[in-house]
Amino acid sequence: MKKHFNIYIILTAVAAIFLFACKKSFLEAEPYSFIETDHFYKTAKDAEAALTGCYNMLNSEEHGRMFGETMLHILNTGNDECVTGTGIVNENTTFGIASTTAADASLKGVWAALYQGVNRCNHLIAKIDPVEMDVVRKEEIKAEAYFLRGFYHMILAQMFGDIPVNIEPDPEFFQPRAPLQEVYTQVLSDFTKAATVLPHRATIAGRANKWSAEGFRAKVFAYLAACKVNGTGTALGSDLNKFDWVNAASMYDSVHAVASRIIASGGFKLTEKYNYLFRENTRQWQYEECLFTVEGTSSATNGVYLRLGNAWLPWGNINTRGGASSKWFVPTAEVYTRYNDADIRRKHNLTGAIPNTNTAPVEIIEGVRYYVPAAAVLSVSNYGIAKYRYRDPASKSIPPFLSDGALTLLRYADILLLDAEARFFKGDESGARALLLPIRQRAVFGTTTNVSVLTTAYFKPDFMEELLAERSRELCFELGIRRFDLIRFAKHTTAIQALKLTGSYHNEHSVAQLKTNWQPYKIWFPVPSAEIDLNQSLKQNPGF
Amino acid sequence: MRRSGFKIVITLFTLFFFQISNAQIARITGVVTGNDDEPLPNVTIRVKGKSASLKSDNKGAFSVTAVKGDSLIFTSVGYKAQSVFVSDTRTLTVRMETAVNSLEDVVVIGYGTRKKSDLTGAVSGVKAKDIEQSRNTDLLSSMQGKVAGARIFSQSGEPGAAINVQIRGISSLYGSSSPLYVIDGVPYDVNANEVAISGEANLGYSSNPLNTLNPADIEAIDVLKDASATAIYGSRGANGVVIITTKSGKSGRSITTYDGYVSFAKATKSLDMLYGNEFIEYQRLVNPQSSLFYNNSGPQGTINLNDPRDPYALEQHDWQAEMIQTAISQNHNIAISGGSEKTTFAGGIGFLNEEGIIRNNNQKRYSIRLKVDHQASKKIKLGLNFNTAYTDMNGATNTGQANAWNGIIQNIISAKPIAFFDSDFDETVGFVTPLSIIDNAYKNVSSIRSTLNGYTEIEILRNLKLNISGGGILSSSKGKEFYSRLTPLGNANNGVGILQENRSISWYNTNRLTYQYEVNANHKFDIMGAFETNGYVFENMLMRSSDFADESTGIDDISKGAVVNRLNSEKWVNNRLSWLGRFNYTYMDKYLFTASFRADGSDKFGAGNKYGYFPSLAVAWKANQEVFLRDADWLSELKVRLSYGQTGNERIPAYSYAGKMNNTFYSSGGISTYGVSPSTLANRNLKWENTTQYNAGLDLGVLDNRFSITLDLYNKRTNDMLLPVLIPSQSGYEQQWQNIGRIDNSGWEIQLTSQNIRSADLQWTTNFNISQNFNEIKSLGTLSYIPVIIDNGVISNIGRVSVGQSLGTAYGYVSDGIYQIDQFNWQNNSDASIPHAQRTYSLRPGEVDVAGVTVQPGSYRFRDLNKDGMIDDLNDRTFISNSLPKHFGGINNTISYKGFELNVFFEWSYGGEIFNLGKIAQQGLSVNSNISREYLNNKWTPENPSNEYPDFRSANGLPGGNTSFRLSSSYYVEDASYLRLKNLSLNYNLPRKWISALGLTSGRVYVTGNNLLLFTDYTGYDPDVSFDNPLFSGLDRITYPRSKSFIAGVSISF
Repeated sequence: MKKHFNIYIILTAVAAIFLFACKKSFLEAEPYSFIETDHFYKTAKDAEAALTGCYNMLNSEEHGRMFGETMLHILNTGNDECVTGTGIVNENTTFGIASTTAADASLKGVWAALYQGVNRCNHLIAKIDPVEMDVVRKEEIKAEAYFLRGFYHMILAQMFGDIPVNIEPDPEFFQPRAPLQEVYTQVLSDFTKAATVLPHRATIAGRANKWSAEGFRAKVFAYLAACKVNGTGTALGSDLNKFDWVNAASMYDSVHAVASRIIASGGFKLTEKYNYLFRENTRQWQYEECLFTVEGTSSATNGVYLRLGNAWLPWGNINTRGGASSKWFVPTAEVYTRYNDADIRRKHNLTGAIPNTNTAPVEIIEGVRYYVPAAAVLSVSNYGIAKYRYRDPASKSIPPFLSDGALTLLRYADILLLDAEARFFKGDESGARALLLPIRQRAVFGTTTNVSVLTTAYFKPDFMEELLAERSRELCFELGIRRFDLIRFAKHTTAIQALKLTGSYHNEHSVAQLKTNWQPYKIWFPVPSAEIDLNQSLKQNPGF
Repeated sequence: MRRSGFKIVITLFTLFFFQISNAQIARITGVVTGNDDEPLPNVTIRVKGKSASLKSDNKGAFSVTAVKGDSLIFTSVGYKAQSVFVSDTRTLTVRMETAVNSLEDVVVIGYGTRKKSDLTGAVSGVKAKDIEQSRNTDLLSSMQGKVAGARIFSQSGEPGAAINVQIRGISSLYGSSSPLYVIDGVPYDVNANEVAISGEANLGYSSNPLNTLNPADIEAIDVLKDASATAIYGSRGANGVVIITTKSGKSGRSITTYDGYVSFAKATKSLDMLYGNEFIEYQRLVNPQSSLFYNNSGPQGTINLNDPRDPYALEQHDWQAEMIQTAISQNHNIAISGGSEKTTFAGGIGFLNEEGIIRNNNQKRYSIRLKVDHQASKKIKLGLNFNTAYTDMNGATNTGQANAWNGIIQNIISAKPIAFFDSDFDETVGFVTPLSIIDNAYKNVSSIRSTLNGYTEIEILRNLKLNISGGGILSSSKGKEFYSRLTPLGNANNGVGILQENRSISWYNTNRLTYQYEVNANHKFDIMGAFETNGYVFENMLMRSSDFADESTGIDDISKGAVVNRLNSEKWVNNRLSWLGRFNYTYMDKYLFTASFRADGSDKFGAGNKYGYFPSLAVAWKANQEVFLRDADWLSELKVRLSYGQTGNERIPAYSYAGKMNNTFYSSGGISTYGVSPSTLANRNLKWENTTQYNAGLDLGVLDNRFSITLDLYNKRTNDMLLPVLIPSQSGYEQQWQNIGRIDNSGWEIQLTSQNIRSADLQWTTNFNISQNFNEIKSLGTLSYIPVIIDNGVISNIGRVSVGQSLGTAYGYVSDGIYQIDQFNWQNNSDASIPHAQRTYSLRPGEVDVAGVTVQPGSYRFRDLNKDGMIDDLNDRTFISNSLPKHFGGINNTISYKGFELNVFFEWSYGGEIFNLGKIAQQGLSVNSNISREYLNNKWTPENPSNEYPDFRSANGLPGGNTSFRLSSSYYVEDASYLRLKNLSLNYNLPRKWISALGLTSGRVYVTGNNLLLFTDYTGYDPDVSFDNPLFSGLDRITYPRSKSFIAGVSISF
């Protein structure tokens, strides 16, 4: 045993030496499954990947797909175009009946996501300069980041009013809300920087170009000018969210100047067929008209898809027909009656259900099958929104409730209408009216109807009223446009009060709740209560 | 007992003759038995006052030389020491009695053992016998209510569900505050992710990785509570340490034991929901123009009001009755132990087949273990120990997604009780019933877990020992899920399959030197020093596919899924390095002194913050050894203990201090492009969390320990708490790891044992324990509170962690009844002739309004705390619930009469509260969901102006006026106090002659009932639930119901 004893001692010694020998790096954690922020932003590849990350927040699965899903539910609903379908309850449907409270998780989600987007841009902007790469591309990347930072701030300000503004990576996080003047000065500055540097068209499809930035400049100018002119929110008597600093005349001048430039040099046009703007396989035509889009992919695992089946597709079997699987939000009769029977936009935007029979009609769009819904019948529950369309799911390589298409965020038609608004403000009513013509022409494209039918039918002596209605006809159910139009023209409350409790199945069943809940102060969303809890220097919007 | 009486006579006899008899050397032989009259090997026998000892042999026989008048002392672990006077009798039969709370018990402390009477720290535990009594399939549940100071509660009634153990309150904010487990010397931090259960829709619930331990294999569980005991585990001891020791063999006769039982379990309760006809009447009330009452013969398949249908012709269901079954389970264990003088072994195999009370839900467990100790030479001892279990859990009993109420248990409650397909709401495939969700979903989690370790102990010099041990735990768990088209999830995706595998290796090596030195009988030293390394490697992968053209092979061929939705793999590693030492000094066997120190290095912190240092000090005074108490015969023990120590905590995810980049893809023209973005905010200053604890304890035993009591008072102070603190998301992040503030726990605990009756035939023992803990958040750094956001789809900003409060508080409005009609104005100067349904109500001036909500008659009313007429977030919310109980404990009575033993165990928890979100579901999740009968019968209507039950909720599509239900309020808070008859068992030891006839050495039959009675006011399934968030555990989203079970079994040895 003596011999064995020594062996044990030797083995122990060896073990101890081994353990001490590996000690040096033993307590240095090695990341296996991620990159540390400090070790990133070093190469051209890093810069491109970081930029992609900035875009990701437009359609991030982690945040409910933002502009590819959640933002549509939040911004498109609870107005005279669409309301929550009766009996539907989930965290998004409160928006359609204006019952959202400061405690609702979805608002906090949006707030967090948009600021996350801002921070991603700020990291890239602050860290790209030392990267050795093509100088032109470097400036472009920075300019795209400026554009996105401006865009995220703009959406925040439109939703919540005064907001904290961040232009540094990982900022101090107890800042109070900055007044709208400061916010929009920053937003416009970012858009301008982007517009100066960005090329006429992005080399990477779906990315921002010069005109994306210009277009949003025009939108911001028009928004501010109208809010000032119409006294948006002044009756609320709050110190927050004020537009009194705005010079409406100069802003409208800018709208006209920028819009004219886009019209003259942007190279965009109204694409021939209205319905091609909202299909899954018609990017080529969408890009003709769209200054900026949200993109979905057909790639398997990265989660960047649009999800429109909860409200924006015709009702139908999602697995076999590409229809909507739920009616979270439903259209009003008012949005239907705004159209003339001859207007093809109505037929596109509002329909009945896609039949679930073997004989369901089919149309072929650029070689791709789409099931065709029945015509809208207002009196039945299947009267629904059909703005966007999914192709026959049999031909999809992604789950049927998702879409790999692109969604319009800003299109040329909107620019034309903004220019019309600016021209009218500046006293050029005929010039303004002339701009409506091409849009209405498209609305009868391919039919035997003469555009004069629409011109006559839609005529209103008050041009602004006609313009607002035309904007709804053309741009209904597109990201927040109706909501922000009603707000900047201070008509949201009257529009909801004017909604009838008859006229369609949904007016009978779903509209009353919105009318009960709506209050004028709801033009601003409440700052999420959890955010105020965390940063007590944030003040709540009036009324909440 | 006859023999025992005989012994007393003998003793008295010898006493009487003691004075007159001469010293006379004699050889005394005899047999030692246990109280079951079984021969007891390995009993240490020595003559009082002499150090030489010997042991009883395999047959319990011994032979010793003594002088008449000597006392023979018989000691054995687990038995009361016996002292026998040597008289003229040369043959003795000594019957050892099983120790109840024996002071001679050896308690496993960290890196060593001590006699209970020599402890300086606060340690309590349960023994194999306690574990056996309850026949729990899960080890931790066996401890519930039996260990003072340890609050043990389960997340739900599901087999394999996670069990939370809190020792002396919550002192860490992160990681469930679970203690460190040391299984046969192998340290193990619970990582719930080791069980691959988290595929789809399992919010706030996890599984119990220790579920793989077979309770039948466990010899003892010792819980180290105060810092003197836990500081030796330094970095990992802050939440207490639970030391689990498996059964070892004894040299001598081999014993084979079989223990098996069958159990029948059923739900303790069902919720009172509407039946089919009642539901139809309810629908006629709230949704008369629906396809339930009319055929879809209108345009585009919509309803035709001229074409009614008969709703009563639809099939009707009581989902709870159909889904909740009587579960039949069986458990079989075979254990073998024995050994020779040099080698002992213990091993066994176990099989458990446990059915859940929800249909298609079960778990199986196969376990095997072997423990071998070998004395290789006089100086070298070796041992190997392995323990492997395979568990197989089946059943898609998911608990719902974060933002929706789509869990199976939730569905049982809210699904309409008729087989009615409503094309407006239901899945496109048709009516998906809760049954079809279960029957057409497949979920299987199989885990294998092996604990392996070995040691060698070398006596280098006399009393100087080197112990080298090493080993680890290997865990591999595979999760498989398949949701066919007939489930909501599968329907939207044309079938969904999820495959995941989680694997971990936890290894350790300890090199320990111990030295015992006795200067003389008065001064004894015991010194230990050790160096330890350990590491943990965790890896997982997950694959999710959908669009299955053919579902016939399910998840077993995931390649049939045309679309891959998710691919994930992850790996992380955590290493630690420690030096530790302990010094024990005993003076005169009266004063005990313990000091320990440990230095821990961890890679979870960045440079400069890696090391933490943890000292402890303790003293104990055995007062009964003092001269002035020596004559107090009634006093068998009186010990006072004082301790101080520090422990640490670093149980946070690896790399928490670092800023991480996440993959964030985007698309270009429909093609995916790779992107990355900052996802976590770095905190380079992140450092150890530190807990300082003071403890004062008293152990008192009187009348030969017939009555004993252990009392402990403690104060724990945790500084620099580690927490992923929510930060304003305007920062670009939602949370950051920080060391934040301070939390204090103080409290007391009492453990009482009383042998009420100790007669020959009848014995009655009562064990009682009660613990009270006060938890207070003293500081949160720069913050005064942190909101706790729970994603649940209805109310999310519920909890608040706030300075001056205890953990687990809900924050919201104080419920103040229901708005009534006379608080409103309506059209035509409140014209009473206008029907309620046509009125447009507006609050009368002076009535309290709710900001952001248009309240109606029938809405919840809240108390206007600042009396400004407006209920708003800023001014009117307050603390409305507390998840933590005020006190809890258990009382256990054991009564033995001849061969019978009856055990009655009550357990209670008092003063905790639950935020019962189930109430929301019971009032109608949407227009076509079921509701509770109680609500429907009592709800607010103009005719029944209830001040307790609100109107329906218009936001749910119901024609009603409760608009304020989405706000967190005390309406949902319920008292979760309960008293439970947790265990009632009756054992019968078969008579000796039967046993002999059968060739057995012992035999026993038993019947046991678990959870037989529950006294509580809580309206959900069971008040003993917990949400998997230590900041707010008192939340119930309708969890898996608890079961009561009846067990019948047999145990035999040969």
